Amino acid sequence: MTGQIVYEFLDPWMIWAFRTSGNAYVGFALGLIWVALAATVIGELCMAGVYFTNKKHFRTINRDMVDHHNLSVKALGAKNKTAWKACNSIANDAFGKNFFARIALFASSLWVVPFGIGWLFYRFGQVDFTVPFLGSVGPAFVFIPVYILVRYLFSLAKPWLPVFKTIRQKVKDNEAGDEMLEFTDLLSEEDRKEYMRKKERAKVKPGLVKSKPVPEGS
Amino acid sequence: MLRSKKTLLMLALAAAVCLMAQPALADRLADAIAEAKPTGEPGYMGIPGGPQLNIIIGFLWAIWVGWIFSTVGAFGGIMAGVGHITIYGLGDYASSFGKGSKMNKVVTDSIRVSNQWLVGCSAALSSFNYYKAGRLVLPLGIALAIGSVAGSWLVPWLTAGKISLKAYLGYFGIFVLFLGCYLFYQTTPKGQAGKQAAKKAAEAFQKSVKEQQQGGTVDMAEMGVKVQKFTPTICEFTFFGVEFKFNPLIPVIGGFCIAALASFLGVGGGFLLVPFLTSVAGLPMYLVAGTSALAVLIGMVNSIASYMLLKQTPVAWGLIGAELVGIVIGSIVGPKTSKFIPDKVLKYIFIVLAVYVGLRYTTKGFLGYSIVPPF
Repeated sequence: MTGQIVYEFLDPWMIWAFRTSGNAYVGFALGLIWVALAATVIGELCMAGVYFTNKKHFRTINRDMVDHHNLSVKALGAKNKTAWKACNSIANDAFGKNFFARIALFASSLWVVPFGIGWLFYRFGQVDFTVPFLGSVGPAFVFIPVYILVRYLFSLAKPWLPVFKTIRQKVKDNEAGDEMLEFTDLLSEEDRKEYMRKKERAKVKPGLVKSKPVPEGS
Repeated sequence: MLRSKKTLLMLALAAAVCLMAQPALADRLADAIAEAKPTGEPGYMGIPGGPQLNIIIGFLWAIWVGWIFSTVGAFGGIMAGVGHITIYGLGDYASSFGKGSKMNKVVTDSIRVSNQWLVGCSAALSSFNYYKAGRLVLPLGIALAIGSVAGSWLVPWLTAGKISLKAYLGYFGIFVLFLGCYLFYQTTPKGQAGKQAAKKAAEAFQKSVKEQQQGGTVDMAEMGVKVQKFTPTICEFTFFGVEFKFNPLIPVIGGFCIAALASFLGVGGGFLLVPFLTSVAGLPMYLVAGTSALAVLIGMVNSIASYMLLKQTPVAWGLIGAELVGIVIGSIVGPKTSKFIPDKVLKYIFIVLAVYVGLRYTTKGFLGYSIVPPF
């Protein structure tokens, strides 16, 4: 079986959206959004399916990583450098495992994209898309950014979408347990409250919190 | 992170990806076809007479790649490369055009960038999750990113269109042999001792935590990273009152070397970056997650963009799609089967495999024949 057969199969499912408008540009834009949306939804559902098929495995590696990280934070708080190094190195090993497992998990949401791009080349490969300064570009040039934007917008809408809302909750339940400790958790209750207060005020007046443990990630 | 910043990040990513999309005319491939004048049915990337890639074979091989990803990790990228070179016969196909031909080099580059799409793209994008969960040491991230950008831009710029399949095979083989040696070292008593010592120290601390609530509190003044001394070669700092030091040049050079190697061989580089940040820079896991994610992302986008946009390297999208499906299935099966195989046995299997693949590719690349079967 070659790619050609796959594209011929995909053709009727994809091309209709490109023909919804009499205007070629509008039709092409709608078609791209349709392909990107289909790739996103199928990919997200596949990712959920893969996650729940191996949910025990994901829970175990995640717990291993979080537990050893938390232990390393406690070791740092106790100023025990040997224990900190040991726990941190084990936590890093666990992170490595988690990292590769999540790569494979993410691949389950991406596999649709190359087929989508391949189909676009099958259909529009001969069309010249010209971009100023760059010259001639392929359909992938316009599709990949559209896919990223559609996927991003979809991720914003996910908490309100019926099926995806449930998936989100179930993933959360599966990985429930100790939260990953932050380094601010090493502060005394009083200091932490003071730090949080300063942080809140800093939102209004930037520059108030002079020393942060690490720059904010999210 | 603020939502607006996230949106900006997504837009920046979209703009960056714009730059790595494949040019329609793929002039380089057209030039290579014009020079080689191949005849026959259109095959790989539409080349007349090119190999008719069966995506079922791609899919089955990728199940094996996915299995390795979920059990060993690092070897997945190597096996993806073996698939493109040997299993699909692209190596022999490229060689058939002769060392100096354009077709030989364009297929070699296509193999490299296909590997990188397969391993790196998902690595880079999934690392966003870690970025969200973790934290980022911005100066270190920037140092790594500078090295990564330099490495992943320089290598395609210097080598795309210049490396013949034979040379690529030789270097790929050496890297696989090196990886085999590293895996072997991990199984030796010396390699095991370090891990066991860490395990013992961690267990001892865990015990003491259980006995008396040891976690301690720190003075707000000691909180976070406090730089004590910063010169071009020494960075001394306290992290919550505990002293650490590292050489600031190391992340720049390390980022450069890892990105250059990953770009040259067509692998992700994440598997080198994570242990590098832990062992050389001594970073906590909490920070490694976000920092390595940023470096992998920047390196990957840059490398693929350099190959595809600057050097107009084409890829077969259908094959990449089928391989991704295989990787997913392999990674589902992996955790379910690996528990029946002891970790040590698994390592020995991969050592044997690495020595075989490494010897075969190194000798085929540099000597022109393989010293292990099939010759």
